[in-house]
Amino acid sequence: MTPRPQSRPRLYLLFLAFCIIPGLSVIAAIPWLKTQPDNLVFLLTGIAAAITILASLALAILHDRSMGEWERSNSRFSVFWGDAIGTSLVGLLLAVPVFRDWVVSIVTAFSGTANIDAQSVILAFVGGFITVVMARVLCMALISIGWTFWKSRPAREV
Amino acid sequence: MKNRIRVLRAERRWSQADLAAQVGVSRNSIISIENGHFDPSLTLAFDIAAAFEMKIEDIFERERGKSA
Repeated sequence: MTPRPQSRPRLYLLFLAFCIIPGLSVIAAIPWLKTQPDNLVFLLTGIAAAITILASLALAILHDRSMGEWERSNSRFSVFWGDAIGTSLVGLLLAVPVFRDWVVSIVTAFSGTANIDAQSVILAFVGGFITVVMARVLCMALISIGWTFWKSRPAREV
Repeated sequence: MKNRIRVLRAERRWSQADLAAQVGVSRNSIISIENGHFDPSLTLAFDIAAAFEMKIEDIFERERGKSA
């Protein structure tokens, strides 16, 4: 028999903590960050983002080792199509005037000014990045669920 | 790929979860393979055959006119 690698809950928890804590720390430190120079703020948030990405990568590798070939097939299919559909979806959404108005209103609300300045541009850039990532993750999850149901459907009687 | 897993399981009164545990995969894998919606790798096919103490060709059969 092919032994399935054991899941390692402690390592999972450790990497999960490294995924969550940097982001929460940045949010908690917002009042302090507001008083700091931009360069320091971008350096700290960049470090937090890098730690989160590395930890999530480690988490993904750990999870991948415990997957069987069926789960790996699901993952390959979902990532391939989720990436393509999620990214395209954001591009298509930008063609919808209501969505564009909504984006502008969000950036305006967060930056606190109706005039476009450097802060608004950076905010919009970050918002766009987050939207693409979220759309891809959402599409991957939906496709993965769909794949699971499709592959688990009853056999067709011949 | 057609297979006789459902029949062989029933003969031994094994649940899908029992077989899944024996070959070290998830129950979903067994459901998909059993229903012909997922073709197992050669390694997994060997593992399934070993669980039933049979040869691969006695369990799996390639359907004519279908690509892998």
